[in-house]
Amino acid sequence: MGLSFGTKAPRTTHSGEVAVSGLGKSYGASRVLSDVNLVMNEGEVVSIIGPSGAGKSTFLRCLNYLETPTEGTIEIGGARVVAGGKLPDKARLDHLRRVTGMVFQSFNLFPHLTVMENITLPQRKVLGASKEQAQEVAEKLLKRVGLPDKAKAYPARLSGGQQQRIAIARALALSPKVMLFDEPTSALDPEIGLEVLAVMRDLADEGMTMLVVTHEMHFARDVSDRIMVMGNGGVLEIGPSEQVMSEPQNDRTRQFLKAVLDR
Amino acid sequence: MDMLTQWIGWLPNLAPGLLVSLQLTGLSLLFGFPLGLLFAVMAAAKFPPLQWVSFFFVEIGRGLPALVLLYLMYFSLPDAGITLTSLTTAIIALTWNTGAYASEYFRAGLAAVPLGQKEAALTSGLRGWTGFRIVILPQALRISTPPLAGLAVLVFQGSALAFVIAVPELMSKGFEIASITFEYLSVYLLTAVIYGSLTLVFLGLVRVLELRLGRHLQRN
Repeated sequence: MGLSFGTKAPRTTHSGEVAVSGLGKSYGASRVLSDVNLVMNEGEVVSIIGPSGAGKSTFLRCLNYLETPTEGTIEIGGARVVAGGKLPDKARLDHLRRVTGMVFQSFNLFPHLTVMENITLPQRKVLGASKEQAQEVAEKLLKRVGLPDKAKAYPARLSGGQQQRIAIARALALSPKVMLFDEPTSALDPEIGLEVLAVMRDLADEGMTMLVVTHEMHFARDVSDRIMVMGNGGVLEIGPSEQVMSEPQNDRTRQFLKAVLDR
Repeated sequence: MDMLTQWIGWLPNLAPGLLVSLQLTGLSLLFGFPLGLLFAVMAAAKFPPLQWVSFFFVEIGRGLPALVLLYLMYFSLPDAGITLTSLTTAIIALTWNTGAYASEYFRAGLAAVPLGQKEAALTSGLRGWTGFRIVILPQALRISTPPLAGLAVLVFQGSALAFVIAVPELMSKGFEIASITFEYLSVYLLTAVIYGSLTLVFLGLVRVLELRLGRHLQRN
């Protein structure tokens, strides 16, 4: 257990493990996120579902400080940040962002760089990898996402699905311990979305710890170990995927699931 | 005497003036563009005094006509004990003017880079100067290139104003010839042709540059 100071939680984080406690965010008087708690084991996949405005994306973006939470504690893969008060120092933020990889709804590939440069530049700048090392990693990752022949292409030449697979490769290149996906298929048509979901499924099978904000109910049920349902800035319920989908405990969850599954 | 032969005879006298014009323009752009970028970055700084300094220099540089700025510097600097050549004074005035306008174009370019790019840079570990240099700046520069090219043309044409503080640039050489030959219209037509043709050649080169800078955005 080691030394613990005051009332702060003891450091018990192992590799790939996520422990979020009491996470909240307010903009002045308006509260957009309150008391979110989540513990994930290494290799676990958790899907976050819920209606628009529930705080799903805000929660995910608080985990790597794209949004600044106003209260709570985040522990991911050995990085630990306590929210509230002063902003954490650069070293802590760097650590938090080093252990998390992020995939965005709108891909956000760097349009002026080739696919290869998109994947190798962060490695060279952040990990200090040589050009050859970085390219070797990139080539492996491109194979893994099924796009080995796109290294020299610019993002604008690729389809949305291809861009998102490249974005996944870019995030993986920094060997994160946890991958965060913020509605990765919402900007894609359903058919193209499947190729991205397939890559994510492989990733899950290989044991990556993943937290996925999604509207893809099949993915949530079939691939994730647990589903967290959010509503109104908080967690409505969380449980094994099958259970949440078939016997939701919360009225609001039932209402939401009925709406999405009856479409 | 037919005009073309006149012109050919005058060219050797005009050439040194054109060189001074190009020198004045080139140096004003060389110093003014980076200064503009600096002002644009300062305007977005988290530290308010940096914003104030940027605001002060940009608003004066944009608020005063280049001609007024030239006169003010030419007549005030010697009073302050600073004696510079008229060319140096003109370079400083036009650099200020260029920097002020360029800062707005850089600011627009920087603002036009989607927020998602900054977020992707942050989550890829590219923060601070590294992220700015590798991810944000190249995209902003591409957006700012057409208006900056327009500004470069205006500065080239505005360099003619340095005539009033006795910089031996193209217009002043033209005036010298005209005051001897009394062929005012013919001389100024020639300077018009020189300014106009150089501008068109320059804009053509910029068009090529724009295409190159935007190549990665073409789908086919």
